Amino acid sequence: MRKINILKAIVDLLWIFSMPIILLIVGFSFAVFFIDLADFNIKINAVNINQNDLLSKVLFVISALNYLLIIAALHFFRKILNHFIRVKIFEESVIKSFQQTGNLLTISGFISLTISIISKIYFEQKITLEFGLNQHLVIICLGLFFLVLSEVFKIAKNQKQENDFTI
Amino acid sequence: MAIIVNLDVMLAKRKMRSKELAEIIGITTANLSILKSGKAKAVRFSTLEAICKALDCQPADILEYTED
Repeated sequence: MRKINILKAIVDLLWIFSMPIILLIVGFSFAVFFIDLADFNIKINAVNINQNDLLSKVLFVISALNYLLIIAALHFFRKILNHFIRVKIFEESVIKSFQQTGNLLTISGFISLTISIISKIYFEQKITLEFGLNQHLVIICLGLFFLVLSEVFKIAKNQKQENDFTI
Repeated sequence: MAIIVNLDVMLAKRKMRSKELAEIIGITTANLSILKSGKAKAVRFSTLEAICKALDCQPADILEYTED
């Protein structure tokens, strides 16, 4: 159980550091409509946002808000770890948290993949095909893995209940 | 559930308390209560054997099937 404590410490640290970033993201998402994006050298997913039109601003805000989804997933993951530390493993709240984490990560992965494709076409006028370990695909796979885990835990919970009620 | 546990009836017939039976067959009173209330999902053959031995009865005296 020492490993779970290390994992919890890392996740807690990430959570604490992400707190001020949330405020920054929310504040900047509003402010972006009143400033000139071309003045800043903003780079998202290796794409330079160098135009000051509405689409660039919307893309910027969506990718910033997309980050909030990952932070929300981190929050649910922390909840799961808290349950695991208290050895409350096969519970409905754990299954629900796994499902929420999975849904959030999958949605976030799809959004970031879409933004990446749109911004590549719009800002660099090129369509690229990447093979190998793509960060968007990794996030989508991670989200789907959490969804599979929630299904596995649901089956395990039913089997445990059956075992507990076998006299 | 379609299977009804008539353990209460047999206990009354044998004039035996639940606690006494639980001690004889070696299960907790909480588990015996689960069995009596019909919340149990399954009964081990070893438990059924011990109950039948303690109450001097047949499995059919304890378990009964009814249409839902």
